Amino acid sequence: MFWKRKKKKEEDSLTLSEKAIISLLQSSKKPLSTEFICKKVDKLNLGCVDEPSHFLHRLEKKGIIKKEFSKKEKIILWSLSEKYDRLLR
Amino acid sequence: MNIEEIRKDFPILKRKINGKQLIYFDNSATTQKPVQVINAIKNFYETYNANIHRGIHTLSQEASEMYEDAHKKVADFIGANDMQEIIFVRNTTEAINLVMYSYAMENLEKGDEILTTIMEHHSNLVPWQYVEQKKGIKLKIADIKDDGTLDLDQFKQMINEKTKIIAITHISNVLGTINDIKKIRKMKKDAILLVDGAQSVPHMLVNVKKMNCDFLIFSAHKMLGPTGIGVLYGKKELLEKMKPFLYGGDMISKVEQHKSTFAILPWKFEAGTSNIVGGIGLATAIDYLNKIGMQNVRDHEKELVKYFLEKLEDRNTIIYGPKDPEIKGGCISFNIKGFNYHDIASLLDKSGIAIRSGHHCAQPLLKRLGTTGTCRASFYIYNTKEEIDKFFDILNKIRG
Repeated sequence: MFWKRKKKKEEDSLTLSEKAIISLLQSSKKPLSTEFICKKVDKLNLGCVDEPSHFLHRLEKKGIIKKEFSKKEKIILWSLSEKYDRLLR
Repeated sequence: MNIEEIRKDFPILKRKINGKQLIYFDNSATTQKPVQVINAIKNFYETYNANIHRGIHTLSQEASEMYEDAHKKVADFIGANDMQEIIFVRNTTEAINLVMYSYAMENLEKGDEILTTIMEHHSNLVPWQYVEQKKGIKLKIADIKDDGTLDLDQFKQMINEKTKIIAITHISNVLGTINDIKKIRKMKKDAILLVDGAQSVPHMLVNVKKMNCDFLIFSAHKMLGPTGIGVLYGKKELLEKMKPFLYGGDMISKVEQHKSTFAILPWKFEAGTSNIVGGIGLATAIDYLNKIGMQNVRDHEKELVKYFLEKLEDRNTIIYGPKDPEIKGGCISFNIKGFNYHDIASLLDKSGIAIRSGHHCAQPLLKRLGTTGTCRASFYIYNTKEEIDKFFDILNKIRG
């Protein structure tokens, strides 16, 4: 019961952009770059073009997503974190 | 200027971010607050809090006096004639909207022209787009040269007898370019000259009489003061002729059932209960800056910009805007080839370094520069060369 309440609250607190980012990462089989995510979310017209990047970091702070820097590709790659299941699913 | 002593006044600089000492290079967005400003706000609420104007009791008298003194302090700081020329607003955007609604919408006619530049912050562009759409005026946008300075020849050519307003930033918040306002004033003496001083007033000596501008606009939070308070300077004769921006409480002289007369300046433009503590916080910030001396602030930033640019130049780095610190404010925009600007900001944050990335509320300029965003490092009085060294330790690791 406690976990159900907690999950609902966490989901309710997400912005539309945050939900869009999570949805993108859920449907992708591989981690996604900042640029790719920003371009995709921007197309939804939920706010200013810089906002998706801001929300990526907010989701990371909440522990819902994680990032990894690929030195080879010189990009940050984002994916759902291990905590994602516990927090939202 | 003793930077170590100055740094002691800023409690936030002791903070650690991701386990690393905070290095704050996002001063063009907002500056940190010294303990003097924080205490002034706290002290007001603890000792003087009351609503201003018309109150008989001691607290209201004291609060009114403090708030009025804040206007006087701002007037002195920018060389205005007196406090009647100083309107407190919420921020730079609101100040420009005030001029747009109370001056431009009332006085401009179809066929008139407003001249601005491609390097404007959205706050000095979007309001004029509204006038263009509503009044059928022509909005002209002057370009920059490849070095990021304003194309003054083109600017001059764009001026004609129909030019009624020139709205220009003093310092670009992306390029750092310092525009020569005196030169621009000489190009057209009979147009309204509105100067966006959001990035200049906090960083250098700005005098409205020397610039001979009609309006100067800036925000407190970019100069050590609190958020939610900004300033519109306007020439008294202009402000007196203008209609109020907002109507209601505190801006009236006499109210009858179907008509009202309005208060004298500046109160005619400060409707409703004001951000009293904001004004007092701004006045304290001005005291702090005056103690340091604005020329010292400018010299310090010039030194930091020079030092930063020397370290930044690299064949894989694109630097936007002029590289001469004499014509550049305290902000530097750049991109590292092959990297996303948000990724650079994110990787720097991991090491406790705060910079800004993205379009910096200047999307037309970024498009003109051929990018959708940049990284931007911007400095203030508490930043040091040692911080810049640490910044490059991390950046060089990133750029490889």
